[in-house]
Amino acid sequence: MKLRLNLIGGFLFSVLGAYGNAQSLSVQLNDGEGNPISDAVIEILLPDEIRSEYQPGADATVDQLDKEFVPNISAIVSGNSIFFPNSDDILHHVYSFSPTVSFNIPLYGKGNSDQYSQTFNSVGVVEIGCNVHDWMLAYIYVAETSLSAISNDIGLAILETVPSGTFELRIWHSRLRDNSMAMTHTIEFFDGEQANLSYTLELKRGRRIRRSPSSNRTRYR
Amino acid sequence: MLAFGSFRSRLSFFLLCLLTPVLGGIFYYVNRNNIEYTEETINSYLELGADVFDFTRAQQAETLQAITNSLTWGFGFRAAFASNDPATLFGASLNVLDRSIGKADMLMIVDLNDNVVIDTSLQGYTKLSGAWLSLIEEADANEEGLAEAIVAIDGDPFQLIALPLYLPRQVAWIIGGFALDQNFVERVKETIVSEVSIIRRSDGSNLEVVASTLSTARQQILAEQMPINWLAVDSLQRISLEGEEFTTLLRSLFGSSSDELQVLAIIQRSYDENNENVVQFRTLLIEFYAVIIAISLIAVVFLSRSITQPLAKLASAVQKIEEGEYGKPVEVNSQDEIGDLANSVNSMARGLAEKEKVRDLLGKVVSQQIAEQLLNNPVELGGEEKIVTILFSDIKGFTSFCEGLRPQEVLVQLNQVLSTISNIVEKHNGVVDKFQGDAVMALFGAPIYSEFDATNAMSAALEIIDALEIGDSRLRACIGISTGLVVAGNLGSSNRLNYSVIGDTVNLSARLESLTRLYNVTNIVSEASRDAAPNYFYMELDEVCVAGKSQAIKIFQLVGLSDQMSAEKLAMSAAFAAALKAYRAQNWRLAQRLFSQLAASCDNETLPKVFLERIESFQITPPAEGWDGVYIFGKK
Repeated sequence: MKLRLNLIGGFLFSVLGAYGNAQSLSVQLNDGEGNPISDAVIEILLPDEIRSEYQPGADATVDQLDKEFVPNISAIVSGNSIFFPNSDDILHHVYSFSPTVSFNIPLYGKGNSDQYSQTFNSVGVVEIGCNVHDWMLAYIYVAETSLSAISNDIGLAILETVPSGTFELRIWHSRLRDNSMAMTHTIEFFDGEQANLSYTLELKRGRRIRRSPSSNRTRYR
Repeated sequence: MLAFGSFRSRLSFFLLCLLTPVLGGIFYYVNRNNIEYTEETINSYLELGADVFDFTRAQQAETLQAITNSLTWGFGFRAAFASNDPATLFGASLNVLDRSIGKADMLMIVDLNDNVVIDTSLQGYTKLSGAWLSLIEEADANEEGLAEAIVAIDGDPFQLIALPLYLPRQVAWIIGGFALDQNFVERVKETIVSEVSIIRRSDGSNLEVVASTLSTARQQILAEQMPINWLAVDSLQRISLEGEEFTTLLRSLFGSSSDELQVLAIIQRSYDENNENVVQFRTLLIEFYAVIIAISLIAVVFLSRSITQPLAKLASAVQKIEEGEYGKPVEVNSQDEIGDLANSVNSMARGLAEKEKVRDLLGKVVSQQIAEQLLNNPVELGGEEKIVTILFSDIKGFTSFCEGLRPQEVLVQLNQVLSTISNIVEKHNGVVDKFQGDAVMALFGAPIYSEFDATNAMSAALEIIDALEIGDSRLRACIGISTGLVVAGNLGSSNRLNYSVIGDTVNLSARLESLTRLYNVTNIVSEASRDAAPNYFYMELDEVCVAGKSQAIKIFQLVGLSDQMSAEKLAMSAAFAAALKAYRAQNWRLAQRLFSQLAASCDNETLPKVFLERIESFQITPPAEGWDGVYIFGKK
């Protein structure tokens, strides 16, 4: 994937030439107490003229395993699809009533589950739930381009090939106090320079539906 | 000291004195403990009731939450919410209420910016404020996103819960509520068996009963009374409703006193109803005590009767004994002290009867005065010296009177005469000492001395003489009276004795009596007796030396009372005195003449003849030199 992105980036740069060589961006996200924040999404918002160089992206998969969505956060490029296979032995009912997309895939099981997918054509965050298991929740970050990354366990999100120039950096997290997509920072990237940024995010206390204890029973996985 | 008219009232009084404090004490403690127990019971019932009330409310809130959760998380409701069509969502909300089988009365959906999306109670809110907003803020601060509150809707308190609507992330708040209404209080009442009321006061003073299991009239009273009884929450108090006492517990339902709506639950339990057992028990106790006292009093009546009846018998018996009736013994059939007393009374009666008999007999055998003397003084041998006048009476002619009569008839006649004499003697305070055949010896001055002893003897003698003259003409009394010193006392042996007098005077009286035959007079009185009774007229008869006596004494005939003497008697007496004088002067011829005249003139010719015979004798054999006129009797 990384390789592919690089290749694409190189190709785009050579065509347009207006923007400098690609360089990498690493963003360290911490909360107010210095704890790393994982599962945050960073996205470089490109101007229209070069946006297409970073489109389309690849389809992704959100599995349903042990009555959880895996991964519970995914970033895709608008226009791509997500497959919702079911790895459990029971049925799931995937739905979303998000403003950008509303869909539901009524109860389905393990067999042929690869065929269940949803294409996301609008930029934004889509919340995916399972109507059978209230606690199952996955976020789909539908980005404009492939220049998006998810912070890892140590709060680090890395983009390998960011063109030089001045762009907006958007940071999103499901528990951001202002959960609109408006948290942006303007960043100037210079040729060949590694950009190391760090931000402190203020997160809300998360409230999630507790997984019912009986659902941990292994029999119906 | 209390005075009691009867043994029964005394016994009853002491029994009551004993029973009353004991029963009263028991009653007091039992009653007090009962009341305490009742109050404790009611209080604990009420506190339990209040807890149950809270529990019921919490339970219903939880039920509400569960129902609201389940129903609103259904895909249909989610889809309805996602449809973003208020009419659809309103219909879905009403559907939720229908499905809640009455556990939820209202549903409100609020978006995350506190805008009201749906309100089934149609209050017209667009944005939350006040208590509603506080509820949401509280829920938002809660980890589970839950909160509850009591809020007024159209004036009625509603129990509300707020919870998030997940889609799958929280997209809105759902507020479910149920009314704390009549249904609610009646449901609670079923569980806690106490009266439940919910009252509200909105601006501190105005009270309104929202729902109550009490009657309408009582609700009214409660609303009027509560401002006065508005005590601290959870404290117990007693409130009277239409005369029925209710123990009352207040339980606050509002979150804090600053809330605009204050709602209280009032849980009440009838004190009277709970107290019924106590009252019943108290009545039972009083009845039981009444029975105890009644039984005790009846027992007292029987007990006292068992004592007083024999006592009354004994008392009447003793009274009869006092009156002199000894005949009937008391009949008491008991073996106790009273039986002993009855036996004692009976023996006493027998003893008294015997004594009375003895006294009676004694009075007949001896004179009354002697009998008294014997009974009242220690009976012992010996006596005292006394001046006593002794009257000796005999009946002349009784022997010839008795000729031809059977002994039984003689005895009857004799007893008659002796009774007459005896009665006369006693009438004149004399004492009959003894009877000897037809003779009676009477004492005047023994055992009791009197200065009129001799006078009494004289009047008795005159009466006896008269009495016998009035009777059979063949009978005549012969009386000798003498006065002198005698020994009076008990004579005889130590086991058989006799009250009598002894001394010369006794013998002299007897001698004088026998001399009456000689002189043919009714009586002869000694000189000492004559001196002791000066009111009488005496005629001197002679001066003699009686048999067995060396000293000469003058003897007199009692004629009558001095002031009743007839001239004839005085003349006769003077003539006799003149004759006696001549006789003593040995002037035999004069004496012979005077006595002869007397013999011819007076009634008693024997008397002068006695002297005429002596004169004839002296004329043949003159008396010794120095003869002083004393005639000496040689034999008894």
